Amino acid sequence: MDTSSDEEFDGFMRGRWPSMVRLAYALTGDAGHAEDLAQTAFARAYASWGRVRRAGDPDAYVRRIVINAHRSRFRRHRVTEELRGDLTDTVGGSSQPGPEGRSELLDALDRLGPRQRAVVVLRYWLDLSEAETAAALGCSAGTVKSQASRALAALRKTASVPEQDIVEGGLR
Amino acid sequence: MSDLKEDLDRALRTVPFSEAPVERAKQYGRRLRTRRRLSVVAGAVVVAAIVAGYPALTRSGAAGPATRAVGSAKPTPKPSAGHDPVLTAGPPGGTTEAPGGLTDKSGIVAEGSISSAKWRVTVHKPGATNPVAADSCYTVTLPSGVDGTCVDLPSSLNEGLGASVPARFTGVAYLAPKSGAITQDAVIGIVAPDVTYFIVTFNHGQQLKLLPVTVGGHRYVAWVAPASMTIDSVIAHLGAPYSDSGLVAATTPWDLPGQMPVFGLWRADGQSAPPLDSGVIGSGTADGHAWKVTAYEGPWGTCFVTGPNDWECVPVKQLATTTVLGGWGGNPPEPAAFGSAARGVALVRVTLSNGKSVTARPVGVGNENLFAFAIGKGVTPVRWTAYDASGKQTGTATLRTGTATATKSASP
Repeated sequence: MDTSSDEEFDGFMRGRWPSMVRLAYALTGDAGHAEDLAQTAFARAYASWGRVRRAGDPDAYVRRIVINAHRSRFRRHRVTEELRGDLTDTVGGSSQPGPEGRSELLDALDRLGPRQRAVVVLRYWLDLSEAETAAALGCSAGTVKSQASRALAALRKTASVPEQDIVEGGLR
Repeated sequence: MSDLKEDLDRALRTVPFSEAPVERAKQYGRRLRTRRRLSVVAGAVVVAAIVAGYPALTRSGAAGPATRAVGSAKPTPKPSAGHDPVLTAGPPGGTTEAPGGLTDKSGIVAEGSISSAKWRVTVHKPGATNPVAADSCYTVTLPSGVDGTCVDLPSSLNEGLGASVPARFTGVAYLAPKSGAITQDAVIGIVAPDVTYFIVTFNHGQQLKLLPVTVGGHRYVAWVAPASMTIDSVIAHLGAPYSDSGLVAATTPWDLPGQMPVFGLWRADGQSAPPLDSGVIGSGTADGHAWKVTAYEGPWGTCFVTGPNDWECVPVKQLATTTVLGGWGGNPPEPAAFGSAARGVALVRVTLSNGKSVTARPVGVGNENLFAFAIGKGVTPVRWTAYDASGKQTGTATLRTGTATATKSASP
């Protein structure tokens, strides 16, 4: 890699690091994992930087790696993480280091199963469509719809997500 | 914006993060890149040799021993020790006939064997999990196992396909774990609607007949072969999916034993190919390292060899204009850059991004006048100026950094 594209990568990573850590945190709920995921994603982007740069949207590339890496991670840990979804009020962010003054909403996200959590993040924070969310998570659009509906209902119960914002699993 | 999005935004803004670990990420990235090149578990993808039109270049990136004798008129295939394995390739068993040709719902475009060992190539339609979401990608099942890597099929490969360009080929090479030598090539072709079938002929006479299979609205052929077997020609029989009109188009790849074939230049029946010729177009010592660039002209177009495992090809019949074609910005960096000169050009001065300039004298190779010059790491050519034998300036152009395209040119 020549000096100019190396410097370009440095600038890109420094500029986009906070938002990728936030995305990874939104997906994992764990600050340590979030930085690991984000760093891995940037490393992969660096390994193919010429191609990534030519494709014209490095941000989307790194974001996709974060999502995919998280997806593989929750597949690998599917059994334990699915169990965690059933442990309602007893599991929160307390067992893991997290940001001080975490919001009620982040605590509520922690109580969701990994897929429901990912659906909320992709669909309602990243504004992906149902089809895009389904493709990113490797499931059907119907699953996205049902998971979104359940996730929003759960969030509404435990966090102050206004009911009027929820229309059949989607947002107005 | 919904309240939930705003709430999430606000909540996630409180997430603490340390300073971006740029150097750590780069170090890990370099390791990934090295691993991509050298390690093999059931055959890791090491190079995708994509052939696009002029002025795009195809550059090799594969490790492995070069066995060509530099200076010969044509790369000479090394006689294989013992018998070559028997190859088969064809559409999968589950294809169905459709008006546009054979289709396969599962995306398998070809299956075959190398002697008794089976292989398979599968195309995956565009999707978010692909390397590029808007592109299709393909996976290869090898005799040694499944390579799960889905390799991108850039949509540019579909552009301009027709009777004059019946297919564009790309592929991946697989390395032996210990030696790093290429063991197998998997080649996939994106095929024009008016191709009936292809005949691939290897240097020892074996032939494969390939019927295109449609997946996601595009037609494909594919084959896997030992890297030791080089390809003499690929003949496209033209007409319609089920009727051969008798017209053909042929391509001869730049293919060295133990390396990936590089395709690009198609010629219609009876159309002449560039003459076979080769020659050293520049050599010297720069920063204490010797460099040499050899050009090979032939039915593949013109290929420039800058090192034992490093070459770039321009798949056109003739390079008639003055320009710097390539040889910089690669990884690892190339030792020298090269270009072509219009007739009558006796000297080319190239201004580099570090402010220095170099001069090169074009050398005749086949139909071409070619030149080469040493270029430092991280340095790019920014401008060339051509002079005739009397020293009169005959043309100049500025080069767009990172590309081999002249943005402004003057005659010749």
